[in-house]
Amino acid sequence: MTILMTLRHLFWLALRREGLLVVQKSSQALQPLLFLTLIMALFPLAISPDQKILATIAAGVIWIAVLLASYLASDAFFAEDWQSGVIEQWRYSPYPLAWWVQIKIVAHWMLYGVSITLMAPLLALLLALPWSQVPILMLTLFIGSGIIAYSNALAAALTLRARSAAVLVLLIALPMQIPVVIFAMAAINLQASGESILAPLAFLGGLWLFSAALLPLAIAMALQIMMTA
Amino acid sequence: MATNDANKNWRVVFKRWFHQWASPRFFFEKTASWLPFLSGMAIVLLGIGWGWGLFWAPPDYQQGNSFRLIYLHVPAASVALSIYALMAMFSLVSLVWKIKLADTWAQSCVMSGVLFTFIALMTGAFWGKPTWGTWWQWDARLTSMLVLEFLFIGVMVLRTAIEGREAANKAAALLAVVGIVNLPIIKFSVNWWNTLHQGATFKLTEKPPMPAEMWVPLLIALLGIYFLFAAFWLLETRLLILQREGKSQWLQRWMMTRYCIDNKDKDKF
Repeated sequence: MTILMTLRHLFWLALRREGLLVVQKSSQALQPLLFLTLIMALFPLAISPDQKILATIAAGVIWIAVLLASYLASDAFFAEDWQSGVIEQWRYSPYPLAWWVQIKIVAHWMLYGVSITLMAPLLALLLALPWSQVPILMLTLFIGSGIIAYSNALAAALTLRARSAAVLVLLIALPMQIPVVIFAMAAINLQASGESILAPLAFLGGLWLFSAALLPLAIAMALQIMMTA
Repeated sequence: MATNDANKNWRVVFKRWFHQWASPRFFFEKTASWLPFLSGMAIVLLGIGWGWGLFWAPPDYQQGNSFRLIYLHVPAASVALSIYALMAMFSLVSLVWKIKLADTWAQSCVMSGVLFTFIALMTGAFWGKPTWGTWWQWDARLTSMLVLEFLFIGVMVLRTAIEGREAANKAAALLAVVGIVNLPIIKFSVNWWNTLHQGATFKLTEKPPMPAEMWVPLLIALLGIYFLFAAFWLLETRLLILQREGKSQWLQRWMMTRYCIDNKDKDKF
């Protein structure tokens, strides 16, 4: 048994691998962020350049754009590991498949979630969101992107062998993300009207824990189905 | 000890019952005569419920005659939710016990689910126009119903999109099970977000807030639509069994005796 790494050691090694993969393909990895910024430019053009109008829709628009960008990234979430046989290796490793999945999602969250959170002030600036709302926007984006990562990964795993997976990913992941959007926007709106934001934030945190605890098991099961059935 | 034996007996009986019904052949032969009964019940009950509701029930004191949409809207919405629960239950059974027929049962729920959810949404829109003055209102119940439709469509599309029947079926089953865990969360969050819709018409603990001439036909129509779904479901399950088990001997023999009784080759079977 001593030959086996501890799960924690494995975690850091696999995390490093994910990081290296992203650095190697940095132009590909940056695409969602670029996409996010491009969408931002559309709203003032399509709706109105008026700062007052923009400020009222800014938080919601940023949240929608983040969701759309996350679908863009998740379409190929498992695809490369699947094609190169890495997932097959996971299956035959002495560690549970769900743990590998968990690591991959956490790595993804640390890269995209954090970069999106850090980008939020810039996006807020573009859409004239009041500065007082920026911290809460960043907080909801940080927690929310963690939840989004799990449901997108499930959709990506279920559609691994599907034809025309792009829309299907959206169809599977979107209903699961409705609560996230609702609670995130509730927190932002409540804060804007000066009320307590504890309740929606508690729900967001609860959703995150719930997804982190249960969804890797479902995702591992989906991968197992794709490999064996 | 006696209770222990009884317990064991009961378990044996249940197990046998369970395994018998999990066999496509047993199911196919046993249910051969059910379809006329189910569809007959559906026609009679819906005929009574809708006829009574549309022609004899008194108009509502506020909504006038437009309230009569309730006799289609409420049953459709109710059966749609039940269908999702049923589909998820069958899916869970097929995933846990690896029973192929349970997967067939789950699959035959999907189309009816899409259909009844769509009916509930459409009639809701037609009802909303005279009552709320708008076709569509982003209210909690309408939104959850729309999400339910997305969930059904997701299960349906996933099954057709994946190559390889077994993987497709298992993936769809998993999605249905995940969906049923999600559904209460979505429902709760959407409720939290906005609510304008009237409360549920029937509660188990209270008397309905409308006169009997109004709710009795509703109850009959509700029963009728469950029978209608049962008929759809059975028909689709039997068609799927025909498709999936088409090569098995018992089914070919069944088809021979049923459709080709004069065939000279029938002795072969």
